[in-house]
Amino acid sequence: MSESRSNEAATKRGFGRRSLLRSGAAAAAVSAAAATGCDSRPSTGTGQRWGMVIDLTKCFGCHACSIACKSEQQVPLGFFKSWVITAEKQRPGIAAREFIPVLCNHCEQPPCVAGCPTGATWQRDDGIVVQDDDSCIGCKYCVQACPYDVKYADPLSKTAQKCDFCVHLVDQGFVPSCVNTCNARARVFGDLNDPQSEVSRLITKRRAQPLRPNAGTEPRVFYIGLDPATYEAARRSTDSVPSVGTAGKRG
Amino acid sequence: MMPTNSAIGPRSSRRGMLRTLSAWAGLGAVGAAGGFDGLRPRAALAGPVVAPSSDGVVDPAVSDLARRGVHGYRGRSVNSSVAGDARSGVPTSCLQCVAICGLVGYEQDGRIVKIDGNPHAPNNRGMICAKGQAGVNQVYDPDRILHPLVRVGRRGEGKWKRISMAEALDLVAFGGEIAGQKVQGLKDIYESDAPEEFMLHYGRSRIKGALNHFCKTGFGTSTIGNHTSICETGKWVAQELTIGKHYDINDAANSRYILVMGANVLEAHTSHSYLAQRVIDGHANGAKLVTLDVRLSNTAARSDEWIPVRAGTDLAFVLAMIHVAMHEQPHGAPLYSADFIKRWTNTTVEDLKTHYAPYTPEWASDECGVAAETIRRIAIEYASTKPATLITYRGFVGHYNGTYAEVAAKTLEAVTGNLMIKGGTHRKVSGSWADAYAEVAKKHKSATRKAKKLALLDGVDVHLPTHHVSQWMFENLASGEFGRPKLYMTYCWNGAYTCGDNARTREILQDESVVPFFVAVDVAMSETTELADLILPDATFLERWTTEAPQSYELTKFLQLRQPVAAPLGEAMDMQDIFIQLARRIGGGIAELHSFDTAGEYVEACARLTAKKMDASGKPLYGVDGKPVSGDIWQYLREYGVLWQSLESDYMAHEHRVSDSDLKSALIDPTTKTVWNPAKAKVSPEDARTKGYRGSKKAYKGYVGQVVEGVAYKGFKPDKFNKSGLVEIRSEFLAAGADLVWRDLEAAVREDETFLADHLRSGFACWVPIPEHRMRSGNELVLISFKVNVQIHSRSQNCKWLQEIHHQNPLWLHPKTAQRLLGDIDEGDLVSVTQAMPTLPGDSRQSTAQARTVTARVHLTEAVHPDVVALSFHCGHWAYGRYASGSRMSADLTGSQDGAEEAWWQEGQPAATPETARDWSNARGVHPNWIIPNTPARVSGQFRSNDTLVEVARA
Repeated sequence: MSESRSNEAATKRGFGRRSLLRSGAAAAAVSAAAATGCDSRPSTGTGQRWGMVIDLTKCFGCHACSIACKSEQQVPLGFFKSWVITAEKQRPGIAAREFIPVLCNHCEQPPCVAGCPTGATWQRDDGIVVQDDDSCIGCKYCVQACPYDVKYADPLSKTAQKCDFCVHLVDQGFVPSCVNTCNARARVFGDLNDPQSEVSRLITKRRAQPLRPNAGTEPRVFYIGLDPATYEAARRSTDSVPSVGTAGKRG
Repeated sequence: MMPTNSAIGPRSSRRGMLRTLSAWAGLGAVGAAGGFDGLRPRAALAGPVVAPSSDGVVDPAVSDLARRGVHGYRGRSVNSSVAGDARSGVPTSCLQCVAICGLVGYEQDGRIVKIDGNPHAPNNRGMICAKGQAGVNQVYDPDRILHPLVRVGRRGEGKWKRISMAEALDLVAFGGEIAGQKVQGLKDIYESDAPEEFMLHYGRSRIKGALNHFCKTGFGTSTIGNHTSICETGKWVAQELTIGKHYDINDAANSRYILVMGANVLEAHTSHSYLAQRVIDGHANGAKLVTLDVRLSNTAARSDEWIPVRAGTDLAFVLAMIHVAMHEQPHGAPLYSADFIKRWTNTTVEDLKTHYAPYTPEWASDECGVAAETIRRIAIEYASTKPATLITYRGFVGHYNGTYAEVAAKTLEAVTGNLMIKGGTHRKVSGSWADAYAEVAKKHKSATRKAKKLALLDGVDVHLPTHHVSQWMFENLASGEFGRPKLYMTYCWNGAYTCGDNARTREILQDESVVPFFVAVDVAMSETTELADLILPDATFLERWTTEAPQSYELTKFLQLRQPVAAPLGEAMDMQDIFIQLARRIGGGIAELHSFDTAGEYVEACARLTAKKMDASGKPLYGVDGKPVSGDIWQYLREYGVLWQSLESDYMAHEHRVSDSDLKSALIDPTTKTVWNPAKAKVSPEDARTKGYRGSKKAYKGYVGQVVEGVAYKGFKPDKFNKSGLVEIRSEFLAAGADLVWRDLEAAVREDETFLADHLRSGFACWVPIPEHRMRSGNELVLISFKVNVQIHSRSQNCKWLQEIHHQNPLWLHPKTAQRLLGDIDEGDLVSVTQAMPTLPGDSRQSTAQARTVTARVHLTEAVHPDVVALSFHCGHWAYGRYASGSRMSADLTGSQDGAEEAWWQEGQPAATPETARDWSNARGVHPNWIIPNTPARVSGQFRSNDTLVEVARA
């Protein structure tokens, strides 16, 4: 873990928005991969590029991640930065349920960053999309811009809020809280730029795919065993967990 | 001395802190290997996460990070920078549920800010569930009871006066006045000749040593109630009859076939979350996962196959599996293990074949509604895919026939040779602490008492209530026939909510002539506690000391510590300290017996005594590195939270030979071939000779081993019955209850089922239909209750983060059933659920509930059996604070779930949109137990949570 990189990022924070295209070549490679549905592992760069793989064949929807996030991030009631969509699939004669944990995708092309007029939402060199409360004016453009509905406007602080991969932990050498407590060990966090990292290997071997690859945002959270139709149907549903009577709110 | 800050004791030494926090840096630390990829749980267990350099000194650069730990905590308004404030990690043990995961609590400036799993705890391996993560909410519940409250209005009226802890303890010890009525205190009862008139009723104690020392040894009362019959007593009794003691360990991580029956193992098992972790591990390693359930639980949803069955008929399915295992040879060889049956059961292949002959898959299909070919296929898969493990729980045993079902389950596992093997099912393995109070009692022998008890606890007409019948205690209390306590004290017990027939329970507890002085020790204003005369504020589990030795899913023996992460808030006090304070007020012998000043001192003494005893027997205690701990044991425990008494997974434990020294002065019982020591069981040589092992009172306490083919093995040691060391899949103790059961069944069985009378007397598992279900009309459905992944049974609903996710519970109803019974009905419409449970002709006990109807919103789903309606358990609180009940104090007791429309959380409430408006209303949900009778199951006394017949109509 490079202290200097994060320090560098911190000092640049005051200048506002981070460069959107950290590596044109890498981004192009990823776009092509996403479009063809082939290996979407980003090409190797020099620094770290943090990302996550979530193995849906292991996730059993326990919500330990949801609550770990509430606790670590002090998320107020009524909102979640990390959430498990519990998708009921019902056709006559068939009942099934699937679990899809969702969080900020820390996209390579983050529309929330592009849509932020003050630079309060910005992207670090290591790819983590972060949020600076001091310069957020609460306009909610970023909330609208996110195609994954994982940002919310906190009515108390009047600022936009989202998952930041627990950047305060990552910068100290620890995994995000949701990864640390994941009972299925379905969540793996690591450096996408390192081809030997477990995330990179899983993406290749298990054909992990991001959510909504056609949205052009190049998400850096990848899913093993994702059925895109299930996700699309569930995210349109107003209450993703009617079966257990949950609040069912996303981000 | 008040156990406040001083009870916490000093922080770890500097050296200790370094090591500790490097450990607590936990799974997330970037080790020498680099990247985040050394994070797998087993990697974390393999050694220190932060790699020491070659000379064993922790790299200072890394340890500096580690000192700050996983704990760069920052204020909520800062999102992208690292404030880097120090958090201290304190290893402790969870008690949100009874799984007792190892935790690290992070404390900052005296406030507990976060909980994570202890990576060294062998069961949970650094991970914890949603419930554990929300444990912080227990401490900072805005409605938490922080000071003693004495009642000034009528019972249950909600009028209280705050008094000091000293005054409150005086009131308990010496009596006084409650709302103008005189009450007797403990001192009077202690000095009377009926100390058993002090009753302590706990739901979740975990402080057995201190509790038994105060109540039994010191005070002389064993009128001690528990809650086991609400959950699982049917399972425990069956295991005591067959494999000898309760608690089975499913070695699911190493299984190739995991069969789940009536257990929601991925959401709510008693060993959640570490059994869930292992089921997922096993499944990821290629095991097939099959779940039988009336409802598509998350476990069923995650399984390779979900098999919906009729409620209460899992037993038929298992009986047919045994039939297939004994009679069919699909691969040209028997599916049963002739060797295990011969060596380790008390029956023969021939007798098994004969008894199970009628239970064909075709027969079972008629009972459970599953196609015969499916039953046959599952039986063959299970019996021929070794190792296999069978996981059962409350869905399986929360029925009239639950004990028979569990005996059948253990029979299936025995005859297929899946007991005690790697990847199979095991008897409980756990570490054991030495009890420092036992030493104190030895020193002050003359101060100790032989405890007596009121006969309130074992129900009425229950055959084998080895874990009491807690839901029927209130009826026994009301009847007056069994005596009544002068002082009734509850601890971690919410019976007014968790038992059935809530209106009746409330009525009894409210009657001052039945319960003259009711003292509750609690963290929250529960449905039970709100009826008390005096409330003492309890410390939450993050503020307590406890010696823990959880059931081990690695089959090693380990000890786990619970220590305070922060000092108790307000005047809250650890129950073990309350005992000390009360003993000293009572004076005399009981004061003499409470020589420790605080719970912390007692727990420390237990640790040191354990080490001393281990040392004396030449056995080391092992640390997290797998090496014997050489330094101060107490310091080590406080730093790491865990110590091992054995490191090897104890597979095939029954095959261990009895040592020669244990064989000395032991007898071989000629009938059972059981080796036993009558003196150890306090059986006279005369009785031992004439009555033998089976016939001597509590002979099982002298059990030494079992002779098999001429060799004495440790076998399957008994715990409650004079059973042999074999797996008694033919139980004479079970057979002895045949007449009691037949009385209920006689009118219920069909003509072709009269053979069941003989089968009941055989002692084998046999078919026992739910008697009332045989009287069911076509419009009646079976109401079952279930648990979800983010709530424990009844005491987590004050946790705002859990309640936020699960605070309403629609009634699951199959669309075809809805169409048939209700016509066109929409999702979310209100329906009434009315109890229609007939009274059994042979049962003199009250079998209905006072409240007949609850209303619920309907959830139309094919994820439930068409004959079943399902309600989750945790909702519908009418007390327990604002998050649980929707209001701080609610008096609406009718079971109407719509009385809590007001927004019950304020912070960050989003603007009401049509979407959120629906979500945020109906905040409380409905509690099913209002309409579930308390009538216990005949054999075990199990609360029949999944048997109630109901009619559903539009409300």
